[in-house]
Amino acid sequence: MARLPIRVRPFVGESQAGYILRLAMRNGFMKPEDIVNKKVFNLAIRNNLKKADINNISSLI
Amino acid sequence: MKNNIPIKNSFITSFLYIVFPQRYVYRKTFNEESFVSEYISKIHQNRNYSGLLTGVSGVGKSYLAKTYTQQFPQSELDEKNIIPVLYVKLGATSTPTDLLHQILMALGCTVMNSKERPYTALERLLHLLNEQSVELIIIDEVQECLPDTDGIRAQQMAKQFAGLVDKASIPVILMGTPLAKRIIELAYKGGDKEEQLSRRFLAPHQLSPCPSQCLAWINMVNFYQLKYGFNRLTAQSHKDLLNRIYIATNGMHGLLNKLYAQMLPADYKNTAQYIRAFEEAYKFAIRNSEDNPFNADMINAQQTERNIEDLDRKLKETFTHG
Repeated sequence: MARLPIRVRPFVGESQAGYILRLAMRNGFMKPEDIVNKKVFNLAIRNNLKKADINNISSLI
Repeated sequence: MKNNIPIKNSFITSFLYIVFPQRYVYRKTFNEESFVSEYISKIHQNRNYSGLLTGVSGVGKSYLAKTYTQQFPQSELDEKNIIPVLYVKLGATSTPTDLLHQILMALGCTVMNSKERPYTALERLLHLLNEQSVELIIIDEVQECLPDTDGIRAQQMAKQFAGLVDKASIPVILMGTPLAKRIIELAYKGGDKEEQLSRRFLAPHQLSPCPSQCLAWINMVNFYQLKYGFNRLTAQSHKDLLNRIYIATNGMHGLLNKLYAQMLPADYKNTAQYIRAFEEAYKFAIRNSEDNPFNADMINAQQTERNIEDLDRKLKETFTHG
């Protein structure tokens, strides 16, 4: 299972895209697409992630 | 960086050392000082240079690395794990990115892109080494990243190690079979001139099998005696048994551990009982042959002594001739 060593949690009121960006940067990645695919990140930009996507991101930490 | 890193650790010093021929084989004494643990500790403390430890398979390199790493346990914080000493055991490594990915995996990062460029993987690694407060990296089985010939790939690997050592400012201890020495001696293009990894490394050290009939050997056997729940052996009471164990294992940690792992747990009262149990264990663990060194009917104490002398002579020759 894919895991990231820095386990950052979402801030209260943080956007989904903001959280993914922060998670990627704290783990040393250059761009969010390194940890989620582009389609998922586009959904996150609209704050419209599906439950399965949220679970997938949660399982990384 | 911790200031109170112990120079010596009794657990390690009790059974591990680098054999310097003039100190150990010829005098056959052991002054309780572990050169290996001191070598690692000095590199860990000073942080200026890296190191290379080599030794044949089974001599105890990995065990030493793991034991040293255990002295600096990881601490789990809410957000991350702090890893003071990072232990990496290399598997087959075909590219510099592959090498960096294996170090990243040891840090707990399993999100990888196989098409990632070496420089982005290195940047990510440097970031995580800093985040996780890594003070020392021990890379075991380093020969795995070297191809059979010193071609471009070997140079790329050496250059990748140099990049890691230079940019991370964290010392690296490479461990591997004697073949691994090649990595620090390889010349490669660095900047405008030819460079070698060796200028960033202290002199390499080789871990050798323990000589027989010395305190180091008794300590080594007793480490496994206690580990597997048996009583200590002494030179006075168990000389023949210690010699037979030596012949069976050639003074190698790997074989000693394998032999003891097959010993039936029991309260052995005397040498004869031990020898019978070791004879069975040897058949399962090492070799099922007629020249079992624990077969007291075939090999008596005098023959054992002679075999020990032969083994010691061979060990001396390996030191003399490199």
